[in-house]
Amino acid sequence: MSTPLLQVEDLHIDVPTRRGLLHAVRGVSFQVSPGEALGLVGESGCGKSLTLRAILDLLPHPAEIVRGRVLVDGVDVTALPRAARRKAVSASISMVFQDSMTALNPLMRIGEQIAEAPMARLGYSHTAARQRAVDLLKQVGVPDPDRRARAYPHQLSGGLRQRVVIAIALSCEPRLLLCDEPTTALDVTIQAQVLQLLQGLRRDSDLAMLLVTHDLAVVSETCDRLAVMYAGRVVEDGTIGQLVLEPRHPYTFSLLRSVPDPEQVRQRLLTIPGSPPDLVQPVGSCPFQPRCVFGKPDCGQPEPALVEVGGARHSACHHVDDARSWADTVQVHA
Amino acid sequence: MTEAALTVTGLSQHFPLEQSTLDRLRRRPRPVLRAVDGIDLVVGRGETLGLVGESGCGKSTLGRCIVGLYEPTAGEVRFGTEVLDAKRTREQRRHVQMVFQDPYSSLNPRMTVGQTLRELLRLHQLVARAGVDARCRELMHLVGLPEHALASYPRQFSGGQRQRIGIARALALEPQVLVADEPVSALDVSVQANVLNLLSDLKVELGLSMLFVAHNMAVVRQVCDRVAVMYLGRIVETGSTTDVFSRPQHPYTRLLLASVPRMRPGHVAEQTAQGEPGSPVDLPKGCRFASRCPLAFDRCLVEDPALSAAGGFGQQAACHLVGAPEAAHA
Repeated sequence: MSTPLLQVEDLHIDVPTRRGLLHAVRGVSFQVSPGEALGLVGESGCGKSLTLRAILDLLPHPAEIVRGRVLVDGVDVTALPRAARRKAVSASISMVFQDSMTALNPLMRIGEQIAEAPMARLGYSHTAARQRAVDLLKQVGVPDPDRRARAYPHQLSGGLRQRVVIAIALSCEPRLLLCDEPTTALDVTIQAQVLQLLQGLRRDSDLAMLLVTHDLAVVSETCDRLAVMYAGRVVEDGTIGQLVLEPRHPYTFSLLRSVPDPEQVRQRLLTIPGSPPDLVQPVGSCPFQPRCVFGKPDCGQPEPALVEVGGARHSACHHVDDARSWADTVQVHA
Repeated sequence: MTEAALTVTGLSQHFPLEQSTLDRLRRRPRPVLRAVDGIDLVVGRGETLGLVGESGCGKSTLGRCIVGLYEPTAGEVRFGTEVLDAKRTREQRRHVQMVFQDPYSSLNPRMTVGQTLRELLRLHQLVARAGVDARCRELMHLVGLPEHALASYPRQFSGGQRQRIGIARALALEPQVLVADEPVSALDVSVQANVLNLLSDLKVELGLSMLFVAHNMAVVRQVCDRVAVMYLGRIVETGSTTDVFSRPQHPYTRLLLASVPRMRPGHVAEQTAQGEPGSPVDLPKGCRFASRCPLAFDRCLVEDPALSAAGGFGQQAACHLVGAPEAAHA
């Protein structure tokens, strides 16, 4: 098997707060192979965005990696000095940000913003980089790219701006695109366009993708594999088909049942009571147990580890074997 | 049809825009943003009407006109048979209440939940002074919060809890009609379900009529009895939720539904929109959707279609192709 493009191993991220050290990410591991799309899903505060930012060395101050490694093409980039690290990472990975209004420089023309990186990193001349910017705008489906390259961000609609952000991410020919909620700020019809664009890019240029989102439906339309995060850990991973059709962790199960389905009306949405644990406090037991519909008295300790549950998938639940009866249990409750 | 709780007729909300001095000297007409442009709708008693559309289509503006936060340019809002102007009496304001989208900015951070509720109850004198505290506790029970929440400040709650407080505040005045403007879009998925279930329960328990403004089609399907689809200030389709979702008549509705991502592995949206919604400042002469419509023909560019009966019982769509042979839709 080829070396994975990206490996994250036992990543721990702490954020000092006034209340104490917040253990935001507590041992996350996953890998992305060339051409593969992995979705990272979870609620706000589960550590998914921090994980993504840690890969690019973009952690907001004062968050820091306290343990674990990030490997790009088998090279441990976390061990490199900062400048070398950024160089190594940015050669093959780039990022698509969520909020296109703040990700773009409001005082710079769009074409120049796209041309910046190819000039700085790939040694393009000014003219060549300008041309590349126009080509990229065309590639991401911006109509009238010649004219739009001279526009400022505020002159474009949200959908077009998001395409520009994608064009910037593509400007240095990355092999892996990190996407942080790329469509959350967009309307449904525009979201569908952007998702189709991302799928097209994957198909045509064998681009790998790591997509962070809270929207399970978006992930299931774009990704091959899925990792569900809860309280700073991955609690379940596997292929999209496996997780959506046969979830093996109660959290994944509940998430799937709590979203309304556009194709049918549910009698009642399954609710997940309570809220995620406070990660300033040490977690000694299953972090989901207090909110778990299927929780049992012996569920508490110790915190379940992510173990293989057959078919190259993993789950962190003490009672994985009961998974088949979960659907019936919920029916009885409802 | 059941009795109407809320009737909106010919409602328009136009916002005049800034104009450069040069344009003013040239006597150019002042540009106008037509956020809501001639809307009729009825919310039946005990019914939940979903108002869906993309951002900028005027759905929130319409909601705000209905609760009296804007003074509409034209048209009227009636509660039962009583006409509600933008300047409403205390009694009139009470009937139609609003749940806001953002549970963070819509609560006063310097007032405890109890203070917020007591202020309302005292001002409107709905319960005797002595009964105010009891009513506050009752409201907390109604929205599923503990009584001690009354002594806490909004910042001490999570997003979902705050939205419950927002709902309690709207319900404090015992309204007949609730306008909920994207009540769950700022919340995490697992919390959304909580609030949606709560709204469904309250609707049955209190016999509320509701106008549910949302952009999430799946959410609308889950909670609404009827749906109205808005595009650039107009309603383009309306009907029962089942009819609109299973047999959409307007090309825009079909496009919206096709764009919703599905939780089916391997599912790919079969149809995506061309382009983006136009501007409500510079509206086209004919059908407002024509520039994005895959089925547009000559007539669409010159003639603005009106709502006409189509599809299921009570279903209406504003499209020249409606009523045309089924083949035209394929």
